[in-house]
Amino acid sequence: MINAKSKFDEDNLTITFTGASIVTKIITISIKDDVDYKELIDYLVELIPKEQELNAEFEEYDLPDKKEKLDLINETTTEILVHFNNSIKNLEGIESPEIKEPESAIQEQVSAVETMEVADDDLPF
Amino acid sequence: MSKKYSDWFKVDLHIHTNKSDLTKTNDYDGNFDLAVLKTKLIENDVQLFSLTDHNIINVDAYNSYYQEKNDVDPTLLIGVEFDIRVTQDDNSYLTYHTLLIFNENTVDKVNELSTLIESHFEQEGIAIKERYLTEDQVFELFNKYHFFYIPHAGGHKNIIDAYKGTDITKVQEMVLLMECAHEKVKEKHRQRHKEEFDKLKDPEFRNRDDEAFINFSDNHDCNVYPTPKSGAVHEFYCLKGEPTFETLRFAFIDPKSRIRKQSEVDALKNVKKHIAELDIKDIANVDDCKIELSPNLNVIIGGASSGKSLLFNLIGKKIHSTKHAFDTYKKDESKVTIKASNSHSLQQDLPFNSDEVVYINQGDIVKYFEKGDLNELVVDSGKEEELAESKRQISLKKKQFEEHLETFRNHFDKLNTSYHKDFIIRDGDLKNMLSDKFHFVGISNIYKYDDFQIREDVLSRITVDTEDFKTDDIYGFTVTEKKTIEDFQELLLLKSALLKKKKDLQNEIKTFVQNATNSINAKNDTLDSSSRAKSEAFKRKASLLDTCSNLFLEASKFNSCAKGLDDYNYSTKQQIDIDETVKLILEVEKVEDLAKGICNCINDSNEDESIYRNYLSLVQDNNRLKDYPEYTDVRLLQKLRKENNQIVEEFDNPTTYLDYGNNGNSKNKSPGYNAEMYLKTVLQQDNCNLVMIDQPEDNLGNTFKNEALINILREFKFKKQLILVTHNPSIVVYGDAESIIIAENDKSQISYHQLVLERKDSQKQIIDNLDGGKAIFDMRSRKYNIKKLLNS
Repeated sequence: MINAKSKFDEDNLTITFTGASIVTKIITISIKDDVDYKELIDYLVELIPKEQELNAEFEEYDLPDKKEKLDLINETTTEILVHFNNSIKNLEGIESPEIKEPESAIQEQVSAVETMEVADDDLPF
Repeated sequence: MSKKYSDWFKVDLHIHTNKSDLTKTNDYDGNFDLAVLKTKLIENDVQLFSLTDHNIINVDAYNSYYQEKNDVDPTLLIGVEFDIRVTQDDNSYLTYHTLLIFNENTVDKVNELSTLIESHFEQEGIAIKERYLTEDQVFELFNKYHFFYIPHAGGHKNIIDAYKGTDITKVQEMVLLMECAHEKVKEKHRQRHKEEFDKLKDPEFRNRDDEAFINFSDNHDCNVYPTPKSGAVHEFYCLKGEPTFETLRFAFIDPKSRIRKQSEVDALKNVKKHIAELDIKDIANVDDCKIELSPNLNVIIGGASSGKSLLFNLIGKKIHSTKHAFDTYKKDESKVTIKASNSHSLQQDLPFNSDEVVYINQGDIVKYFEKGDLNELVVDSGKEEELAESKRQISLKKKQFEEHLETFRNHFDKLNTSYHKDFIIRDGDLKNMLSDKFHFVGISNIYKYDDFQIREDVLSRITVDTEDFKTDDIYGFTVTEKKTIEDFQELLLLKSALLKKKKDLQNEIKTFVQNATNSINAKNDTLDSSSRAKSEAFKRKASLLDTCSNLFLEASKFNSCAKGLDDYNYSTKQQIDIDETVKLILEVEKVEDLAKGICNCINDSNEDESIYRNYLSLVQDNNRLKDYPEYTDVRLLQKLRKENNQIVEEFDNPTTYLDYGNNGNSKNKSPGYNAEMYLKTVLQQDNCNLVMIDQPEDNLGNTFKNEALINILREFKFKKQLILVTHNPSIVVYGDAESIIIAENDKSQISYHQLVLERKDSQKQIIDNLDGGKAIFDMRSRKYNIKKLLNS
């Protein structure tokens, strides 16, 4: 599981990705004017091969004058992360090329060890 | 000789008469009666024997036997058992016993030898019960005779014990230098004997099977013959060939091929089905004759155009080999008949199953290996259809591989298209979405639709499988069990109906939602501009989320596809059973790294990274497709094919080799090795009863070692019948052929005669007909490197 913790920090949305399988990554998106998710999308596309769902979490914010806008951005960001998780869930059933293991060529060879009789009752040498 | 080839017979060269009582006190245990002994010998089917009394010859017994002997009676060779005295280091002495078996069998020679022995002991003044000879005296007395020296080498009075107190090397040298066999050595001690004698031999003569060990009855009472003096059960030894002194010589030179215990011979004679006889009649320009074939090694020899291959192919035709070339001779063979070993009568032909016969024409094996054309082997084996199918399977694999490249390209292209979109929510849209203007909210995302196709497929599969399950008798269903299955089938029908109902309902909901959406959109279009702007802003947000969703889905698909190719092993193998043990393998080996080839399509690719990671760089920068100014889907596919062309070529030209089972395979091996292994492997086939090879020495080519071929022939000749055409004297002599058929062409009239190695007149004919034959016979007689031994 990868944690994606989001918080609003003045005019930015900061998302911190942490988890055992990744190096911690912080993505900062300006929300002052247009909200461009490109950097987040690029990172999420990079995360696809990890095949792990995101545990999304939003830090509470107390900015009454921006609340409606932040709620809308919060909602949009969360939905993006949900779509990401859906794509991971849907991995099963996606066809991949047949991976053929080489035929096992290992054959155990059992060598019979003959024990020589050592009796020397009639051995002239 | 009853057979025209070398067959096994029992031998007993150590039988006493009551004459031994003269030289040893109370030596003979019963009343000797030559007639009784003769009867017992015939009853026991002994064909070669000797009366070997201690230090004396029973002249009367020999004379009586020779005078009354007829042609079918066992052959009696003159023999004596001598006490040989060996002086020890302290001037004391020990004696050992040895048989001297002479190459003589006439009344005159018995008298001559007896007189020689009696005169010697009289001159030496040795009392009759004290008789002995030294080794020097043996040579002085009998140097003008040809004899075998067969000492006791184990048990009572053996040659090793006699030399133990002095220089044991001397006895080893002596035994090696004489034509000799070891008597009375237990089987468990023979290996040790060999090792001790090997120490004196030239290295190339060590670890061989040509140290002769043999046991005779040492019978001392003709009434209980063949029971020995000890009372133990006697097991006869057998020799191969005619009951003659020359046969003994061959046996002691090549004991592995020519000396066997009776029980072993019984096992050898219980051979698989083989050709016993060929009756040649009324073939134009070929003399009528009957050929008896040995169940072991038969060789057909003769000069150029003498009719060797004609006979070989005639046999091939009679056994219905598909590869015989007899028809090319344009001769009528309808009167020729053939007899199987398990049949009492000759018949028109003797069909063998294809897996029972290995039939190799001249040059076949060379063709397969020296020219590397295994397709010929397939054709000769009648496996063209299997080969075509195997090639088709590899072709399918190639197609699959090419499809994988195309699929990869398609997934990449969809990812690339999804990626190059706008992921921005504009400030204006945010404001519009937050405005207090109203608009009708769409309902298209409210419902999550089920995928009914997957469920329908599952139900369909289960329904078919259940019916197959129910009707398969192998499960032996009881009435109750059948009822359970039928209940389940009923359940399937119910669920199928339910599924259809739900699918219909969902379709109705879809139609309703679509109609509602159309109405909402129509209403929003009638609102004022601010409301319409709010509506459009929400649509763009929904579109952004759809774009993200689609991108992640395509990225996941591409990742899955790329991951499969990271570890993709395109190797594949098809096998064709050429025969019971040899398989032709068509193999596409993984020699190229597919992931490397795929990544190599991108400038500055990183081999240490996965395909997915490398191709993300191409997604982000479409100018990184190598050799092209910019990415297009067509260009990527071209590049993928180019970079992986080597793999495609491997599919077009799979590695072809033979799998010899436990003997390995032909891959990267020399033609000589392959010829040997192929031959060895086909000879090993359990089902194979008959192996026919026209000139194996030519078949195997120059790279093949003569010795290896002979070892193979010797190994297998007692397991299946071998019929070879050859002009190689080594195969005949060292292979110790049981039957030699000589083909001769006198003014276009062909004739066949049979020879055996152990007959002197046959040896001359063999030498005359095989280049280098005399040298081979001479070399074969030289069992060890005697010159080197003497120098040492």
